[in-house]
This record gives sequence, C-alpha cells and structure tokens, in this order.
Amino acid sequence: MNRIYVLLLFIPMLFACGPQNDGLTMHNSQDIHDHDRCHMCGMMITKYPGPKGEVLLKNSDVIPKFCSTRDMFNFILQPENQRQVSQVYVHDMAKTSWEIPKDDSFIDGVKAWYVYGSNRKGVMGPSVGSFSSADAAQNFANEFGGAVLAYDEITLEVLGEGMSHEKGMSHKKT
Amino acid sequence: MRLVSLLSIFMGILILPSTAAEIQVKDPLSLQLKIQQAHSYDTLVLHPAVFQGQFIIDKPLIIIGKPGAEIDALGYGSAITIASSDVKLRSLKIVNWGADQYELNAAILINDGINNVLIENNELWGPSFGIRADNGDFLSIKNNVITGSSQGHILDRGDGIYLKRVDNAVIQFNVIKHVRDGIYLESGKYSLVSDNYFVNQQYGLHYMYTAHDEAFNNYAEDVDGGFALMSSEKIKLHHNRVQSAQHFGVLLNMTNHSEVSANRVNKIVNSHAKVAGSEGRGMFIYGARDNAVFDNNFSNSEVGIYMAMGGEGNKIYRNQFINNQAQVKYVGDSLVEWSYERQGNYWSRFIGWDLTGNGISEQAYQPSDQLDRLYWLYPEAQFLLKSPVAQLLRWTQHQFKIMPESGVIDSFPMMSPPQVDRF
Repeated sequence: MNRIYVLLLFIPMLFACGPQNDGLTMHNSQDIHDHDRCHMCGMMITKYPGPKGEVLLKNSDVIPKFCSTRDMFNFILQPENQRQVSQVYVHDMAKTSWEIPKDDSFIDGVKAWYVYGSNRKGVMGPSVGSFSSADAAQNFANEFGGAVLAYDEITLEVLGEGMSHEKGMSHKKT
Repeated sequence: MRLVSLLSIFMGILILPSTAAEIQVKDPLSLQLKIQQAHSYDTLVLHPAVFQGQFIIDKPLIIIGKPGAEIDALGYGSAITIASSDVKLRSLKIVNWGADQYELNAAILINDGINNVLIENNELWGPSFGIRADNGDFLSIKNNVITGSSQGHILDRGDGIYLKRVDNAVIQFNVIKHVRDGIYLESGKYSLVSDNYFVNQQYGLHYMYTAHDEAFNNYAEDVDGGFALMSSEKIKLHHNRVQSAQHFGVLLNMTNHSEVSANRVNKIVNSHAKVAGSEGRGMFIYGARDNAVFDNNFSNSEVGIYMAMGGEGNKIYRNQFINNQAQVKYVGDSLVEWSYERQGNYWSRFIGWDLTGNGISEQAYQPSDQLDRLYWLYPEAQFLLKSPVAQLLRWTQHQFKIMPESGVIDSFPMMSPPQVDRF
C-alpha cells in the first residue's frame, strides 16, 4: 500500500523541470488603487493605515494585492501558494507615511526586514511593519516596540501568537 | 422635604408630555425655522411637500412625515444632521443628498457623541451613506428602505448604515440595496442586527473590531459576500441566510470566541475568478480561533468551507455540507478533527455504515483526500489526477482507510441531515 504513496511523491517532480524564472525578467510593482481589494480578506485596501503588499505569481498574470503585510503573509504562507509566489513587494515604512503609504516606496519583500508586535496599528490584526534595512527596522522597534524579523522568520505561528496581544485594544473609545 | 422633591419629580414627568406640542409644517420653506422655534420634545409633522435643503436638528425632537412629505438635499451635504440626543425620525422620504464620503454626506448624519436616536419607517434614496454615526449609544434603526446608487464602482458607493464606535445599536427590518456594505459596524459593542434584507452590494453585514454583537434572521442575496466578521470577538451569528454570493457566505477572519450557527448558505460561486484559490466559499476561515461553527447548511457552492492554515482551532460540528464542488478545502499540514462531543457533520456524498443505529456512522470520513491535497499543491497535475491511474489510486486509498496525516477528518459523520430549529 505504501508503494502507491511513494509513487505519488514523484508527481511533483514532473514539474520540477518546467519553465523557470531565468532571473533576467524584470517585474515592476503595480500601484494600489482605491478600487483594489485585498486578495485575502476582500476589503478595500487604501481605506486602512499601515504597510501593504503585493505578490507576483508564476501561474497567473493577476497580481494579488493585500490590505496589510499581515494578510500578504497569510497568503504567501499557505501551502498551496508557497511555490507559486515569484516576487514580493512591500512598502518601505522608513520612506513613506504610516497612515497613507505611497506605492513609490515598494521594495523587495524577501530582502526586507519586519517589525512585529509594535504598537502601530495596521488592519486584520497586529501590524507587520516593513523596512528596507535592519537598521531602519530596529529604529522603528526602539520607538514603537516589537521584534525585528527577517522574511523567513515570519510564520503563521508567529502571526497567530500576536493575536492575543491585541485583545481589547480596538474596542476602546477614542 | 424628601416627599416634596419626590413629588416635584413625579409632577415633572407628568407635566412634560402635556407641554410637548405637535407642530404642523406645511410651508416647505419654514422647516428649519420651525425646528428652531420648537421646544424640546415637540413633534413636527411634515405635510406633503418637497422640503429642499439640509436640515439640522439640535434639540430633542420628533419629526414625522405624512405620506408625500419629501426632503431633497439638492445633491449637497447631508439631508438631515442630528446634533442632539433624544431625536426620533419617522416616515420621512429623503432623496438626493451629497456624494462626498469624506465629508460624511448621508441621508441622516448623526453627529459625534449623540445617544438615544430612533430612525424608523423612512425611505432613503441617494448616494454615499444612508445613515452614519460616530461615538454614539443606543441608536435604533428600524424598518427603513435604503437604496444607494447602482452606478459606478461598488467601492465608491456609501454604506447603507455605517456606525463607528457606537454601542447598543439596534438595526432591524431594514431593506438595503445598491450600496457598498449594507451595515458596516466598526469598534462598537452590543449591537443587535436582525430581520434585514440585503441585495446588490459588497457585504450585507460587516463587523470590524466589534464585540458582543448578535445577528439573526437576516437575508443577503446577490452580494459579493454575505456576512463578514473581521477582527471581532464574541459575535453570535445565527439563523441568517445567504443566497448567490461571489466570494463567501460567511467570512471568519481574525475573529475569536464567536458562534456561527444555523445559517443557510447556498450557491456561492465566483464567476470572475481569475486566480486559483479565489473560488466561491460557503465559509472562509482564516486566522480565527476558539469559535464554534454548528448547525449551518452549506450547499451548492464551489467550496463548502475553505479553512486556511492557521484556522485549525475552531469547533466545527453538526453542519450540513450538501453538493458543494469541494465540500472542504484545507491545504494545511495538520490533521484537523471536525466534530464535537462525538457529533460530526452531515456530508451529502458520504455513504457509511451505522451498525449501532444511533445516527452516527462508525466510519470516519475525510471530505477531501490526499489526492485532492496533491492537486491543490500542484494544480498543474490536474490532468494526471483525472487519469484512470489516479482514479485507481483514489479507489484503493478509500478501500484501505489508511489514517491520514493531514487534512480534515470527521470521526462521527451523521447518517442523515440533522434537524435544525427554524427561527
């Protein structure tokens, strides 16, 4: 019986030799418009503060955009999406405003540095601040709290743990 | 002495209603003046006429429209601004208010910090918000018809009812169409939303950072999504219906300690799907935990429940999954049990045996198998999975019932659909 499953394991390898990104193709980020909706949660993206993200996919021309870097990671980290993502863009929060991030500050999300657990609010849970350099991320963390993480260090477990920190935070009247 | 003060309080209560006057408003040009001249708790009755312009209510008043009374804001600003607590608006027709959402243009704008407002039996017809309020308490919105504009982009429309940091809102028996969200509630608590009808809009009901809310007997039809629970807590969503949505019937996103029960969700099919993974979902769960999902009916959708990895920590039981293309989609790497206290779900394609005759099959059911997961991970392999070899593998897999390592499993599947109390 187990042999059948061993056979199944080879199916992915059939595609390992498929067309690969040759690394020369230059992709550009797309601006996020008022009519763009978050690929994960479906909401308007520009209505809420904090860094946004977008990803390029190998198997589609559509560029999913996200209301928050958090929802972007929620998409990227799903097993069915992991191997389709070819490029990641996030706002460099050292260069643009937190309230209304500008799209000319998009940087390579894989090389970016992230601050998780700060007191700056994003949307869909605690924000994941994105920065082009570890220094900028550390400066932000010194000011607003949180831990500095590399792209690979952000997992669904990390994002899940942060949820309990936010309890009750949003229900206060201002 | 105390008796005297008590007596005067009683006298005050008795006297108040008798001093409140009913003022007839027949001249359309006199409305704002009549509002200024009225005493607190007076009633203004609008006679059949078109009252043009924007009106501000700055004291406790009751305003009632007779049939044929219409307020026309001439395309500018908010038609009525409520700037005082204890205001009631009844049976008014309001049309043609401004479209500027940044200026909070609404048919009825309730100013910051206003409490005790009743908006009942009105007909609102125009762009931007139908009713908008911030930082209020005890607002009741009942039996109104709110119609937005079907022109332009859906995200440029206003929401039918938009309440931000409003507690104890009661929203019942409204008909809301051609808007962005039917009801958008942000950062409030203890709202009650029931018996509303939503059609042609983004989401029927959209919770954002709210807590302790309840919604039942609402019906959403031809919408992008039925009921969206985002970053909220302790919501009870029950006995609602969603028919023909594009993206989801119910979205449970970053929401904890909530109950989703006895809802009926039918035909969630995304006709505009361009990317794999954007198929219509009866329910979409992600980043949410400690919720209970039970007694719901998910039918005829592309996916019954799509649970993203990270949504494993919820109780899911006694639901009916009827004829969805994929009853469940879960690509995560854990094995997730969908039953609670030995009660699983009803699956329309499941044929098991029940030797004990207790209505629960002794045979566990996996709504999606390892070949499904393989296809979700490697969509390019679809042609292989449809081949006779894969069919044989699938058949073999089912015959031997090997304990799976990942996916959703129901150890107590129901033999027949459970009876659910109708509301």
